[in-house]
Amino acid sequence: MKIKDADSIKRLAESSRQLLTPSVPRIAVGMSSCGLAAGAQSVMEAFQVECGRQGVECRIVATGCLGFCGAEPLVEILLPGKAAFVYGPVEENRCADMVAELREGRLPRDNLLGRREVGGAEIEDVPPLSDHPFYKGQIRIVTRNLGLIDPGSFEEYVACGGYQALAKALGAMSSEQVIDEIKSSGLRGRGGAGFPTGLKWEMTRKSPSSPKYIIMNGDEGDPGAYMDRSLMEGDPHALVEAMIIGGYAIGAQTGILYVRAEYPLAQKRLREAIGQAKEAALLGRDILGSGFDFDLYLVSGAGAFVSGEETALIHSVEGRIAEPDPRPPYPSEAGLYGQPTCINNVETLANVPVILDRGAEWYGGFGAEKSKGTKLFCLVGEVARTGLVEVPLGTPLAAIVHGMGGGGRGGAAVKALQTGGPSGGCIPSEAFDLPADYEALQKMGSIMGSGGLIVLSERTCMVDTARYFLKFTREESCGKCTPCREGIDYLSHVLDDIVAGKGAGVNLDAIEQVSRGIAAASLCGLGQTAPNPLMTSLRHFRAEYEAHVTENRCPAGVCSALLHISIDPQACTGCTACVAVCPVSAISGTKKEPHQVDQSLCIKCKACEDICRFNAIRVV
Amino acid sequence: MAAITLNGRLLEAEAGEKVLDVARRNGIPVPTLCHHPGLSAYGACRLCLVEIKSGFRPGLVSSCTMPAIDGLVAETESPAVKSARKLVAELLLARAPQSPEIRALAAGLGAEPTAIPKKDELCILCGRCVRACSALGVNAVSFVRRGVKRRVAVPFDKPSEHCIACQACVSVCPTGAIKAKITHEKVEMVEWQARRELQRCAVCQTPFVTAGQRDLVERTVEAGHQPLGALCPKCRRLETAKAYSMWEPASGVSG
Ligand SMILES: Cc1cc2nc3c(=O)[nH]c(=O)nc-3n(C[C@H](O)[C@H](O)[C@H](O)COP(=O)(O)O)c2cc1C
Ligand code: SF4
Ligand code: FES
Repeated sequence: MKIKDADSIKRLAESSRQLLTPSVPRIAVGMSSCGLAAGAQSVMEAFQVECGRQGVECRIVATGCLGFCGAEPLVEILLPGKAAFVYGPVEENRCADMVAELREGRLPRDNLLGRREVGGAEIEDVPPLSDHPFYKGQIRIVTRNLGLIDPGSFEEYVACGGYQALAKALGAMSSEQVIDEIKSSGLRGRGGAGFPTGLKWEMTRKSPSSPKYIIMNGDEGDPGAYMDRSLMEGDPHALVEAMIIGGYAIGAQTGILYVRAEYPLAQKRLREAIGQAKEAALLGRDILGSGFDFDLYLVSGAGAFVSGEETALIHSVEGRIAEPDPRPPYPSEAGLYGQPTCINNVETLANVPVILDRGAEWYGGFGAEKSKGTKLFCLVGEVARTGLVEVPLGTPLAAIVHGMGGGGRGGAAVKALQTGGPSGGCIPSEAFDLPADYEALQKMGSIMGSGGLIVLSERTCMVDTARYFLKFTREESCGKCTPCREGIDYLSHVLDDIVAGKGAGVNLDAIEQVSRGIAAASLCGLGQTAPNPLMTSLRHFRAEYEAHVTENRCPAGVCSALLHISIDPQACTGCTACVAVCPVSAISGTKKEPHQVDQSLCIKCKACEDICRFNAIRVV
Repeated sequence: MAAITLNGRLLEAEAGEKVLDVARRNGIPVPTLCHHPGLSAYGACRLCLVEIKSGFRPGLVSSCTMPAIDGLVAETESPAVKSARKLVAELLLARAPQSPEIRALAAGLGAEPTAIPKKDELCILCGRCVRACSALGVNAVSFVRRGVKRRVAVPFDKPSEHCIACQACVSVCPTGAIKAKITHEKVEMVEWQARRELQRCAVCQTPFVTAGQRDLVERTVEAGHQPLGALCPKCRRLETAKAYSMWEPASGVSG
């Protein structure tokens, strides 16, 4: 169906509303990559089978991710006239019972996380989802549609107010007014550097040459980060809408969605969305009768972390090797095919339709002084509750880690937080009252980056963590410039040596100096930030490095080459449980007498520590 | 006309000039490795770093790629520049410890062997050969792999179909990492696994050019000229001189 004007969008929204609040129960299964990995596909099929078998009339849909990845598969059951109830984790074998309960008119209660208002009668004893500790303090602006709508349905997106911002922009605003609105909202780039988005749009618009291009950066290569994936998989039309608005603002008629090859589901959903938008005439010529023409193409990424760097990304789109160029010129002056190009991150763009819809002033009400709006973080690592959280910028890190995350996993003490992935650094737990905003994190030597938050506990070795990230950047450096290629290779080997117990001769001051040199001399952001994990952990956890280097000891008990496993004769009861699990038969002794570990055989797998009920295994 | 300040000296910059060009034109020494005046700017080796003080985002930039923007203020020998160049030289020295060129360059920058483990490379990945080959439109060699595994290679490391054995890469390589074996009859590009017969000069019959080179010259020289590629340099000079001596001014033109 072709949509010719703003009114027809409103009419379609009206007529599609019943998709979201049907007259029969609506069972929504979170089917983004995270849900699928947790088994959502069979949960969905189980619901389909059971509803058919038990004769319960339901509308069963696949939605995006509700964020609480630790509780996947997540299922939302909307009961007409009541509310929507969110469950997780929902095991496949529970579906039959849940459907039976629905048939009998009872509310399933197992693993019920909370209720979401849909304007019906409340069920008093079920607390709102927003009171659940994981969701408390979250504000869902960018993720507004995630987990609510079927990402494959154009109508459901429209029913949620989709494409109204586009109609407003094309109908009532000039390109300059759109830019001004984005500028005054205070929106800054979510791809890492935090560059003001409105300003970038303006610079590209004002670049004299034409044609111009707008590119969505969906390369998301940071280990531990999947905010952008969730957005692309869960709300693809929001990105299509944002790109059309962006194109209109900067004066581009061609947009490119650059999505990494490792995200096939995101690519599929975006392709579908492009197809639907084309069919609705929201892409192509004379969109909504405004005279503005715009087309959108999807380009699959090159499978390298560095292709997310904007100049490398441009090379990749052009079919060349993804290696960065020195600036100037900036892409806004000479980018794709030498033409002015605006590159924006996925999450940045996902903010655009809401800002236009609700206004810059409303948007500016969220967040901190210099960092407006919300930010998505992927809370992962040694944390009790993992998932995708959206919080106002400036939220204290403690509220995220301890509040939403529930602190260390299994009660472990949280030691630090790695922000910004391989380009970022660690922040010690003593500094968790720090607000999560661009400036505060930078002051700590870290960066906001794309929004990965990796929780490190007392069981994490900081040297080993730094080693992991430098190994990553060593392999993902494009290899073009000397300091990054040769320097990171060197640092990575030094860290390998330290964790392997061969760090006796390592001079930590010299390593710090080399790190600073690499950061200063490298061509692009990858090399300029790659030493950060090492530099920040040296700054905040130097004693751990010293213990490795001078005492041959890993305080966290992680670096196996430095471990010494022994049995405390006072605590050992001679139960022989450890003897049975030791894979190399390194433990011996007489039954009911203290046992011993043969150091020449021990491979430090710590299987004995895990099995011992008497806390007799000493790991130092 | 733009003017930039280098080490406190106000210097004029011509349109399109890079900071490196302005420095060199004014006798300010700046070390370079991946830069070549005949090739596109690349900014990979990071030896030519200078420190921007104002007029652009402060910090180190490669002068070979940095446009001489009006009002730019930069230092070519600040402590930050010196220590960064020294680090780069140390890293290069560890990569190619056998290269006399790299050793001389390192010595000039005060870099000595360090704790950085030595590799045994001659290629320092400056990419001059890749850019030369691409500038000729041949594109027989390119970078492959990334990070430390990056190297210059022909496709799939199979004997090159496209190499014309012109040796442009050999002549731009700063460390002699590319070898050509030249005999009376043929040129062999060792790394690119390309063996090309030399074609004979149409006049003196001396073998002097590979077929690919001759075709390239003929493709790139305007139509209507002599098939220059078919003549060896000596015969070409003689033929050209002959053409000039037979040239007569058109009537009415006074000498
Ligand atoms: C090594 C490297 C990798 C990057 N990867 C990404 C990425 O995956 N996604 C992204 O949006 N930005 C990435 N960036 C940042 C981009 O270069 C660019 O700044 C960003 O896409 C701009 O969008 P924004 O202004 O909306 O943040 C990367 C930068 C570097 C240096
Ligand atoms: S800093 Fe690293 S990734 Fe960036 S251009 Fe240099 S080698 Fe490539
Ligand atoms: S000469 Fe400028 S970076 Fe190599």
